[in-house]
Amino acid sequence: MSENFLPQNYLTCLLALPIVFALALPFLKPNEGSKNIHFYGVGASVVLFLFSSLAWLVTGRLKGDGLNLLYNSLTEVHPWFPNLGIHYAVGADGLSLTMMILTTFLLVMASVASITNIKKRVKLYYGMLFILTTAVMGVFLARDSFLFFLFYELELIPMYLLIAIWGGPNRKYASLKFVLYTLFGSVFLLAGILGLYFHISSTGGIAVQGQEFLFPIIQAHAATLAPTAQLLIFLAFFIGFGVKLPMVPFHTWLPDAHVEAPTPVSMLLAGILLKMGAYGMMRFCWEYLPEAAYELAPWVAALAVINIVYTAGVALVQKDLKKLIAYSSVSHMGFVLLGLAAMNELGFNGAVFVMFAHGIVSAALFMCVGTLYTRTHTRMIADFGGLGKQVPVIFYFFMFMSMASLGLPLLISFASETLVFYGAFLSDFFHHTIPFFGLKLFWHMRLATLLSALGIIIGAAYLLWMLKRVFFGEMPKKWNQLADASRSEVFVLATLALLVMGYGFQPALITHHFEAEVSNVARMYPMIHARKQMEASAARQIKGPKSTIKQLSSAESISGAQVEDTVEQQELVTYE
Amino acid sequence: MNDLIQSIFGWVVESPFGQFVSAENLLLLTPEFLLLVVISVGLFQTMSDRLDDQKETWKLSVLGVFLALFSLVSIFLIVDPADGVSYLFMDSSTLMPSTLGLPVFYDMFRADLFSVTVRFFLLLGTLLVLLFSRRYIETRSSVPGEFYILMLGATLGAMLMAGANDLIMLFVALETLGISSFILAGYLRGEPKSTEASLKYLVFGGTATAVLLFGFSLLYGLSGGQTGFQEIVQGLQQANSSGLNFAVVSLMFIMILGGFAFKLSAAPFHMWTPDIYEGAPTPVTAFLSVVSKMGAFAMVIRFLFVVLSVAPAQEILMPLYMIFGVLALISMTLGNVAALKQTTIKRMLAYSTIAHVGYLFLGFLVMGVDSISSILFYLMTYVFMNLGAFAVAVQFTNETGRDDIAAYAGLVQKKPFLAFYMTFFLLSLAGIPITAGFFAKFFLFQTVAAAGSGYIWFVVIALLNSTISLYYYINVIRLMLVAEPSDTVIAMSRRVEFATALPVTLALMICFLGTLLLGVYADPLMALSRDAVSQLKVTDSQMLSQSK
Repeated sequence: MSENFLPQNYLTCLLALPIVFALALPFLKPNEGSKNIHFYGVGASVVLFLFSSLAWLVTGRLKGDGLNLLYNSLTEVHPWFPNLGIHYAVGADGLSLTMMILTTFLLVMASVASITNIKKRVKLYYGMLFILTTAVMGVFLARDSFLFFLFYELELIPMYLLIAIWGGPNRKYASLKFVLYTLFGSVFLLAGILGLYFHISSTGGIAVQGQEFLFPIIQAHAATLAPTAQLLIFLAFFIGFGVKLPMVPFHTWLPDAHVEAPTPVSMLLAGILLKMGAYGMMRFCWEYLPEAAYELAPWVAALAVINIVYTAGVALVQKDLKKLIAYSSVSHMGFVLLGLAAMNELGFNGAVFVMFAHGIVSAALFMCVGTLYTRTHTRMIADFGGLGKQVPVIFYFFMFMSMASLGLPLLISFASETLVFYGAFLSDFFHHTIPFFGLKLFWHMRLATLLSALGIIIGAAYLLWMLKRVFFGEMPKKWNQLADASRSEVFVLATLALLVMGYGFQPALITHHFEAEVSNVARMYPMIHARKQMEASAARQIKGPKSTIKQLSSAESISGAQVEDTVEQQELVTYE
Repeated sequence: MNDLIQSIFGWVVESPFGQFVSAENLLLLTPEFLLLVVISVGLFQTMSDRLDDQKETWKLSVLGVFLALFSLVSIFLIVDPADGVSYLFMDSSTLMPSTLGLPVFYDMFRADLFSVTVRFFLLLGTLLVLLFSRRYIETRSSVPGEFYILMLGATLGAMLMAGANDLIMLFVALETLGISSFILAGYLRGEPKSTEASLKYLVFGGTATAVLLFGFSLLYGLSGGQTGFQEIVQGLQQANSSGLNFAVVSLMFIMILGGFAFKLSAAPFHMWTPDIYEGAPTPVTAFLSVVSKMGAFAMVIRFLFVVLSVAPAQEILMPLYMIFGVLALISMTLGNVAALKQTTIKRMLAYSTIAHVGYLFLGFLVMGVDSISSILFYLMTYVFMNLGAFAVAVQFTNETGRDDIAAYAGLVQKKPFLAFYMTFFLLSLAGIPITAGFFAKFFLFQTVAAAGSGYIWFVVIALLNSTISLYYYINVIRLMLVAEPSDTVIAMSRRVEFATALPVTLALMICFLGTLLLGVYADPLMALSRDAVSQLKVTDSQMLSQSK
């Protein structure tokens, strides 16, 4: 293809580039205030961003077969531990590339934000930042589950040090909590990966020998798992990634980590590290284990509602500005879960879009909090008040980003969350009473959608209330000398604001990058639904001679057949 | 090839001793003989009272260990040009393991791939300990010479343990290692803690040996008076035809297991470990926790694999294998939980050793070629990562005289490399990826989980345990990298004396490279350990079929 000017080992170069940048750091001699190191850090991350956007530009123009050819040409597979079937395998698709571009973009933003925020041990700081970038990009690009796990773990140590060295007063506790929670999740993740491995090696036969960890093999064979095994592996992955997402009740590490982390690290933590969990969930749980995902969808929807509403409620009562933003960040990640539970094209696309939008908006909000903190050295909402006149530029951006976060139309969060709501509302895969410890509860995706919408309302409440308390009213005298945003801060916030507006006006600019792959995943679900319905009705028919049941079951079977018809029709449409 | 051997060793064979030895026997034990020569020469050297002469012994010992290492590698890699067979590796044409001269001295000792691999790592470990122990011992003892000689003696014992194929040989080797270690633990005669460690070690060790011997005597009786491993198996088979008493067999197993568990410091037989590790001189602690442990594991692996996991003992003892699982869980949990609260680096590493032994015992629970070979691989990585951590600890103690964890605060600001090495080794011990420790754990847990769904809970508990262990490892890392420098660190000089630091730096470099390379590319050593363990099984059945 003439458009493909990417080198053969483009992805490997991309992964190696930050490491090279990091290795060059010890040879630099910092000058007064380490200005040159900051310059190097920002420059290196811009280079990385430009290099990574090559793939973005190329894939944005292609469609269909051409795009698949490109993805195939980017894939690299080399045996690494032949005895165990572990490969060095990297590859890309729309989902991976979207997450990757978000990573490199936010790295640039974080590096610029570091100029004002990071004063000590700058060389080590950028070294950790670059290693972190490699690890996160590796997670998004790995095409071997073992390699995926390696990168997933590799992220731990730099992030730990970033919080533990450059963090706030309680950083020791927060950083350790972060590590232990993540490692706890990794245990389940590893159990899930090994479970898949053993299953595939025992049933796959000679054909898959030595490649059990590769994603395509997993995708092809995971569907043959026994239902209980699939459920167990799904749960292992779900808990493992749920810690990172973070999902209630495993979310308590996040507010602590955010409060203690310096501003740029908070931006990265909210912007991309949480996406590792969401990405892994999408990939392993919903793409490779659809049957279990289908079975557990009601529970996932319930968890999503709890995630959205509960953490929004917790955010409402926070006294610490950064904690409030952190909880709002957790609350918004609940929409990813809701979109996944919807199991249709709109829901999945919405979930991925929310990942991206959340990356931009929450990073911007943390940046806003950071600008206030560097000036006032307090994050308590009660200490502020009436700052709107003193620091109008910060006020402007804070207001803008809060509006984006609470879902003002034509801004990015509105677009993404609307997609999720739309998908969830139209999702019709479960609509029945579910047994709940002896009780029979009515549970439907529409109910979940309505309840989640409550989260948006609470979201508006806590954000507006926070804005009122911080920027309006009487200003304490001590803030008389407060300076407004510096040039680098304005640069970061303005760039993010531009994206928030741009993608809010024209969401297709971003969605067309991942739409094809993500919709492909969604196409599996109507078929599973139809099959399950058939099985259920068949089981009922076998069961009872009683006339009422018979009537019921015949009605059911008709509806099952209807569903199948519609599925076939859909298939036809898509193939046309 | 035989001509070559004859020309080197012919004179011994033609001497009056010739009726006991063959040239091949001598060749296969060359590393051990080299160590013996060094020990004898060194003993004469240490008779001198002059400190300078004593210091010469260090050079002699390092040279001796290095030569032994070199001879071990070269002898077993030599390929006979006539038939293309090396002593160890598979014959390319038949794909059968070469059996050239495996039994040594009437099958008292086996020089197979397993023992050669283990002996290589034992010698390497001793070399590393010698490299970083010099300054520590010479500043603390007036007679440093004997220290090195005793260490070589202990290594000799461990090497013989690795290949011992006979109960008597095994016992002699075990005692050679044990007695040398007792003296080494109390080497700092002026320090009460060191003396206490020595005495405790002697009393506990003696008791455990007695228990072990009792088990052996039962086995001796059960097999109809046999001591060779293969003969024992045959004897048991004969006895089984007339019915073996389950109670006696299990008593034998439990006695032997108790003795072994003590030597390997598996909980609940671990009580001696922390006190002795803390009291003994730090290089000795390093030696005990790595070299001595590896020798003991090699002995246990060979004994369990050759004698007890073969019919009929296996069928009788199968239900009792769960004991390994229980010991494993107790060891890892107790070791990790106890390590959380330790304030000195030596005690912390002692408890972490107990935890690691717990992980390794999971391999015995499954008792297959895969799991045993992953134990072997784990031990290989353990040589690098644990000795690396000890090397840093020794270097830190040399420069500051302290070994409490709090003193390490802010080390990175004065000695960035030392802090960096320590971070890397501790991460490896914790099992974080891109280090050898991660792959060692991964292979081990994978083989255990693959053995059956019943074992998955052991793996889950082990994984949760490694989460706990990260807490205390990362605590040290946090202190070194994050915390403000302690007074001890502030008082440290930035200057490095090149001459005294060179051996330690060399040891650190070897450990670092080993940990890193095994973390990035572990496949060759993984394959080696698998070959070694499967050969243990294969040659044995071959021997049995030949003898039938």
